[in-house]
Amino acid sequence: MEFDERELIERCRSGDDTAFAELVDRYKDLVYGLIYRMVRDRGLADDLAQDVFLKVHRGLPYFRGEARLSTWIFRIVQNACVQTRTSRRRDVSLEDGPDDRPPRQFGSVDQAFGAIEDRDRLDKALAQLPPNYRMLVVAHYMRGVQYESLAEALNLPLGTVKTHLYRAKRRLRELLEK
Amino acid sequence: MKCSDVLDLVEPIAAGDLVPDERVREHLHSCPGCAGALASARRVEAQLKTMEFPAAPPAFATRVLQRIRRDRWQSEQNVDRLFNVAIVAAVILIVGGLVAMLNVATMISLTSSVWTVLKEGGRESVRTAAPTVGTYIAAVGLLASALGMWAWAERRIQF
Repeated sequence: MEFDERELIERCRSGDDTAFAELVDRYKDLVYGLIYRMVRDRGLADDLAQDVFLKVHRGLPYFRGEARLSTWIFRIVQNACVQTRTSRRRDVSLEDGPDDRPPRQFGSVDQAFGAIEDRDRLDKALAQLPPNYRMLVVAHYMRGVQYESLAEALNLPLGTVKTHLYRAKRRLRELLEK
Repeated sequence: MKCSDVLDLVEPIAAGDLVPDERVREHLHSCPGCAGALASARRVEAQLKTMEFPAAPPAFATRVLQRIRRDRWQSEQNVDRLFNVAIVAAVILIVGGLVAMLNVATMISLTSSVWTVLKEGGRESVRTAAPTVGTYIAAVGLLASALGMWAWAERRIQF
């Protein structure tokens, strides 16, 4: 763990609210972005992200610093998403969306729309992945969370993490090709 | 090399985790299906790399801190409530203990028992005194629990 991070944790543990605000500022986009990608609802993502930081605040006195802070936070995010998943299931079809879209034409504006359409299809395909695969893909591509960090956070062997990611991407590819 | 073998390698190759060897390259060159799968995997890889992640809403940290303060206040309220319950329980136990201790009939019974012990001695006195001793043990037990509860409540309130 970096000195800076250790010092920040110590300050948070001593009840320094400014230090905790700094910690939240440092990780809020990662936590919110990950959760949003999992639940696809801004209001719910906001609530869940706040819950995650409450858990971080409560858990900090017991955080032993064996793993990186980001890894520990990622684990909390994953648990929060798993708990939410059990109470909220959503089926999203790749074909969801308006059917009266204009026929595609060539040109720069059309290319821009094409990119949006591709992104939309990717979002919907991601939403159809099994949650554990989705979490892996999102975490890996969001902030470039490395395989090693994912393996540590999920308590899985490195090879398993890679295999799961490859399977997830293969499934994604199949969904996009449908 | 079979297509199924190559298709298993498509994702690692697209992710840049695996450099295809000569045999795989040859297969990809000659098999449009596998080459298409690799091209598609590379497209997915590129799309994932440019995937957008929304930033946390404004004033997010402030709202988190507000919730933490509210949470802290709530837990202090719970401690207060527990403390009050402990105090009431302790008072009941102390009063109960004192009543038991100052129970005149018991005192008379004990005095009489002691007198009997002195007077008659032996087994008869033990048999008579035994129930009274039980009362005292119960009273002391009640007092000890009350004091213990009081000490616990004092410690909690300092939290």
